[in-house]
Amino acid sequence: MKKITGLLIAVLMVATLFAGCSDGSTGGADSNLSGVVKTGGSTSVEKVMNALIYQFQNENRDVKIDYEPNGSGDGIKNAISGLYEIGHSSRGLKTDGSEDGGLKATAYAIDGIAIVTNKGNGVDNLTKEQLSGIYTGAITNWSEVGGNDAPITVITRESGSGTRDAFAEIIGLEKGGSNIIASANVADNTGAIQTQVSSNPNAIGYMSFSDVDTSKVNTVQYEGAAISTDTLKDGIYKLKREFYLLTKAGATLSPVAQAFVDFVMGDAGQQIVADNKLLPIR
Amino acid sequence: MVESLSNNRKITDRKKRPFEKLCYFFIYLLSACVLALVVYFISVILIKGLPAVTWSFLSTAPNPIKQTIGIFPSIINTLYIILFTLVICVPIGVGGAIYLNEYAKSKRFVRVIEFATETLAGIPSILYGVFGYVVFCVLFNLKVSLIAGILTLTITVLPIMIRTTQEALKAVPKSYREGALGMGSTKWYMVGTILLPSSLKGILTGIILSIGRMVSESAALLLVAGGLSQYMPRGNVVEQLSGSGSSLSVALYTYAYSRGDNETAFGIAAVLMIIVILLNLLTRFIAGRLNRK
Amino acid sequence: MKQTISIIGSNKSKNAVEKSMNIIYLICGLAAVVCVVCMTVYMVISGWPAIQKIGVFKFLFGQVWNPENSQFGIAPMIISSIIATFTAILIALPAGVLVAVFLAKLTPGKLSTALRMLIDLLAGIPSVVYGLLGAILIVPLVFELQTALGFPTSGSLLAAIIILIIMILPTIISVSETAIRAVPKQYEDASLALGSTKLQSIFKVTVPAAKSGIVAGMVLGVGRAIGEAMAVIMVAGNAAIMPEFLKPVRLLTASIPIEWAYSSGMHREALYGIGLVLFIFIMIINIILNKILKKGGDVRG
Repeated sequence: MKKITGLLIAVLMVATLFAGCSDGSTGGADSNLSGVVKTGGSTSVEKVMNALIYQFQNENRDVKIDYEPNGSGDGIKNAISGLYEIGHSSRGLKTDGSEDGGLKATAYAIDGIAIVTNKGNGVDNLTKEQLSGIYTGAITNWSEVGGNDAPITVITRESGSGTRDAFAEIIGLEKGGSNIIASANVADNTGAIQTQVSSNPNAIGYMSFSDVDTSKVNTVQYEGAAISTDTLKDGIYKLKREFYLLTKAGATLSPVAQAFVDFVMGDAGQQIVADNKLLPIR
Repeated sequence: MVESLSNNRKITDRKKRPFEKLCYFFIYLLSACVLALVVYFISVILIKGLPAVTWSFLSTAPNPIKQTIGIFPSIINTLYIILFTLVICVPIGVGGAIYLNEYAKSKRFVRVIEFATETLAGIPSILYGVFGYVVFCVLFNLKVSLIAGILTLTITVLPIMIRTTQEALKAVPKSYREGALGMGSTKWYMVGTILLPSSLKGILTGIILSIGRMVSESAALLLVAGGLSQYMPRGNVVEQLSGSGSSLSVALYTYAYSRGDNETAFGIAAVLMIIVILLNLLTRFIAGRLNRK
Repeated sequence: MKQTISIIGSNKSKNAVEKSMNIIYLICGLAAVVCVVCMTVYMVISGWPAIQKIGVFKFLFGQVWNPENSQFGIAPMIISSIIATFTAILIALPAGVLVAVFLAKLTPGKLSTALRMLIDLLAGIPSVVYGLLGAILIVPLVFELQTALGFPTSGSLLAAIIILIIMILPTIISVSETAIRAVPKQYEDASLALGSTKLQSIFKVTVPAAKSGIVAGMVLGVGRAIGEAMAVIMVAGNAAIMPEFLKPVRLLTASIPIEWAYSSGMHREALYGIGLVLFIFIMIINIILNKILKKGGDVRG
């Protein structure tokens, strides 16, 4: 009896091995491409990258693109070391020499950084001084910027985040946001900011515009400009940065990786970029 | 005095002092609160989670075009992780326990190994994550992958296997061993045919405890095996293992914390709860069945 | 070794097999030791360089954690972790033991088994589920408290402590209940026969007799509380400042996953340094707890 149950368990376990074979793929256009491409990096590009990868894999059934959202810093570092054939970054490479590694950065999208507040928050515009005041702790109550009498809960991305660096640079904080108030809540990816802001009536945060779900949070106007793909294109809304694909300069990519880069920069890819509330680079 | 003896009262039926009454009251109150909390949490998980658990939830991958959610990739990853970790860890754990209990000569050596085992058991999962990353992902060049996660979990779960197998072996009466040896069997033969079958119940309990531990593991896997799995698993097992992937716990964390998608998160929580219920029932079943020997 | 005479096979081949099996088992046994040694070595290798560069005192006692400014003081996080774990245990241990007493001694069998199954269920759930429950149920309650007292609403030390308590309660109850049940009934009967009340017998005889089991439960609970990272991240706000109950805090364990992704260079090394500090911390606590465990001993002996 024990032997039979043992056998059954073994059969069950082996069966799960084959459960993974349920793909049912029968090739599509360009199905002569095959292989695995390892990529990873910024979390801010996750949504658009998932859509791009999904579409690319649909058209090339034998291709698998690994994308690990571990952060821009990881993306850059691993692109340099070769761990990732393509690295993703939501900020430019540092110019202080710490990220010299012979990388070629190909910008494929422009992303707006949205300032988000809770649905119940009445404040609809913040100036650069007000924003930097809030983030450095000089302004602590919503009433000081035209809202209710409630203490402001500042939420920021973690140290080293590409989004944080870009945000800090544009609104005039010290490098990397090092003078952001110490008691600011830290959320370690763009989606977490939205989650926390949507559940906290007095919170303010900044996140990638392509991830904003307006049913969950409000976007605040920056210097009188509301964020939208139009204001980004016209340069009226000033908080923005580019998304980059990082590859080894001078080295040839594998056919699959090259095809993916071409796809992203081509019409189909740029259309997906636009569909995701980003600005196509062309 | 004579009165109380002639009644039918037991000696324990003394009149409780008011302090005692207070104590009873406090204990009952506390227990009621705690148990109410327990029931409340379990029901919140089931009430919020079960509605999300549909067949398509369980059997598809997330589709960004259609905006649907599915956790099939995470389920498969979890199954792979459990299966392969057990394959590596059960033989080593059982072997180690056999060594400790049957073969080891020096008491001091036994104590060293036992100390090492207890130390491993006490290390928090985030440190396993750091260690696993440094050794398996970077040093062994496995990169962030399921296989690195499997190896990391093997170390995490090893102490559980060793400990429970040891307990099971200790429970086998000495007479079994001596009987077999007395009839002329060699030690290893005796171990294989007498000891292991007799301690099967304990070993199975250890396996179930290990599965429970693996299912709960999130911090280490996040660092070592990667974030949310988005795509249907490919047929090739080796390929699947060498890529990054999320287990159910990691997926829950991502959906709840990064996506703010509480519905899906509760759905995964309900699935995990069902898994824990099944594991618990399995333990009781094994304890019941194998006890009837 | 005694000569084994056997009916199957020759002596020579049997000895060879016997010896090789011995070696195989030995290797298995060493596996745990090898792992611990490797772990210690790698923790030190990866963590020490950073601590050296930053300076041991500056690292451990520095009050400012600001990687952009190259300030890597982890004192706030160490203190937050200590306070959170200590408070959680302080509340969960007595509460857990009392509930265990209730279940083991003061409820009828069937009810007790049913309740026990529910508690085991909660004990087996992954910790991220607690984080989820905490974020949905506990954090809003703490928000109310914070608003009432004029604090900004955010994740807090209080929320972290509450979910830690809820997380380790089932474990402590479960293990303590098993230990209390295992105490032979004679102990309690003897005490009753000598004239004490049921409560007196339970608390003066049975519970002390179950001490080693209860301490084991406490060890498990402490281990779980100290090591918890994910669930805490979801409710604590993660600001690296000195702890106050209604302000956001960052526990030591939480630092690693939060800043892991984007860290590079010195920052990443500092995270490894945190890992090393945590490792040493845990080792010390485990050794102390194990000593207490051994001393507690088995009254049934």
